[in-house]
Amino acid sequence: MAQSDYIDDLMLAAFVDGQLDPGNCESVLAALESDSDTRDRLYQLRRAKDLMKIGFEHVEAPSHARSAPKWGLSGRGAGIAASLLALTVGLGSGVLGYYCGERLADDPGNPSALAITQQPHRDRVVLHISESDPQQFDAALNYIEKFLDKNQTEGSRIEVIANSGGLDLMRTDTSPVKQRVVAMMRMHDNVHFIACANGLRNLHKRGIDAPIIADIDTDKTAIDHIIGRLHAGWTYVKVDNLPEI
Amino acid sequence: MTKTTLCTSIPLKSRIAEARNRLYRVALAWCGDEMLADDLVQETMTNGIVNIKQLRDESRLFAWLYSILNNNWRLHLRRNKNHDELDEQLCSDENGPLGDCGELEIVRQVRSAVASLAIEQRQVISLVDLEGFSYCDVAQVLDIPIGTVMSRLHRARKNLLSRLDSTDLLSDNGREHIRIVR
Repeated sequence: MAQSDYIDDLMLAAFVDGQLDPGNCESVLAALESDSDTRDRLYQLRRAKDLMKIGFEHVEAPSHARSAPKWGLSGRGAGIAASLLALTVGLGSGVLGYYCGERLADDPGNPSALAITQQPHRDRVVLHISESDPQQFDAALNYIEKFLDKNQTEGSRIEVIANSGGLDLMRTDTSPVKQRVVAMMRMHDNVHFIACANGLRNLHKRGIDAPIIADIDTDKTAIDHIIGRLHAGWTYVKVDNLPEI
Repeated sequence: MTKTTLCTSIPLKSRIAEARNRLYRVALAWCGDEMLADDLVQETMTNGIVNIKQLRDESRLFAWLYSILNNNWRLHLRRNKNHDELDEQLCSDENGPLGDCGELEIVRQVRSAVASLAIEQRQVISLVDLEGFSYCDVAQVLDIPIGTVMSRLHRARKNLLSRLDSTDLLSDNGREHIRIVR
């Protein structure tokens, strides 16, 4: 691209925000067609806009009784998931597919859980842990045991995905419940543990070598996997907010 | 009160009441505190309803309300002499209003990243990206030049992505150096 054709960030932002006059819009469109750097910068701008929406779009003012406004993963959670899905579609299909959406449904019987699809699979759960908290580790494993006890039908599955501090659950050098995790994986084919690849990479960048328990999946990133499971109708459960089972 | 005034003011007041959620969302993005956001919105709606006659152009109702919200927010910050300390607290208090949400991790992280932005950046990015205001409207609401709106917005987005990309959930990098042991 010639230097004179360069679209600066402010003009690109004005384009994304619908603030540009038609003449300049044409210049931006021409640059988008011919220049990958402009496309990349446009993508980042749209990503920032979408993240803002994900963070605040489903906020509702509290009732005047001021009951503690908890962000239960029911109606609003489903909306958030819709935004996440739109973002993911954007990641996969570029600018043109950015605002694709999906139908969502609540899981009214389980206000702490979230799933995308009209009829979420209650017997397929993705359990998310992001804090290094031995109590949460125990709670997660206890939850899995209850889940296995209640869901003995063929096809029932539960996955534990850990990122950030939650990775300590799956590290051989930090996990206080290592043997329990290993035993659980050996005994149950339908229990799967996943250590977020990005989380491990970040640890490595900080100089921390994080040995992971054998047979734990380390190829997936937390957010991608969670969204994929939500899309497939799984129920999402956060360990610090476990629903009754 | 004349009949004409009555006919005009009633729907306007209804519209103010209906704006509560929108105002609250932006107030929350600005201050990061649910209780404070609610207070600011209550104050703004009350000011709006009481001073409705000052609104000359009904089509600018929302911009006018956000101007009031901005005034109330600024007033709150001035009253809190330790303005910077408040900001710091909102950014770092993991057990505070941003930390006790039971929502998806990404929502918590976005809110936390927004709370870590400079107040001026938070205000601009909220009005543009949450409310869809034009740059011109934002300039009027916040009483700053359009050029300032654009530069603050640019910095806000850049900083937001930078903060979020440094987290595990959103970073999108390679997966090398993973050691598996038995």
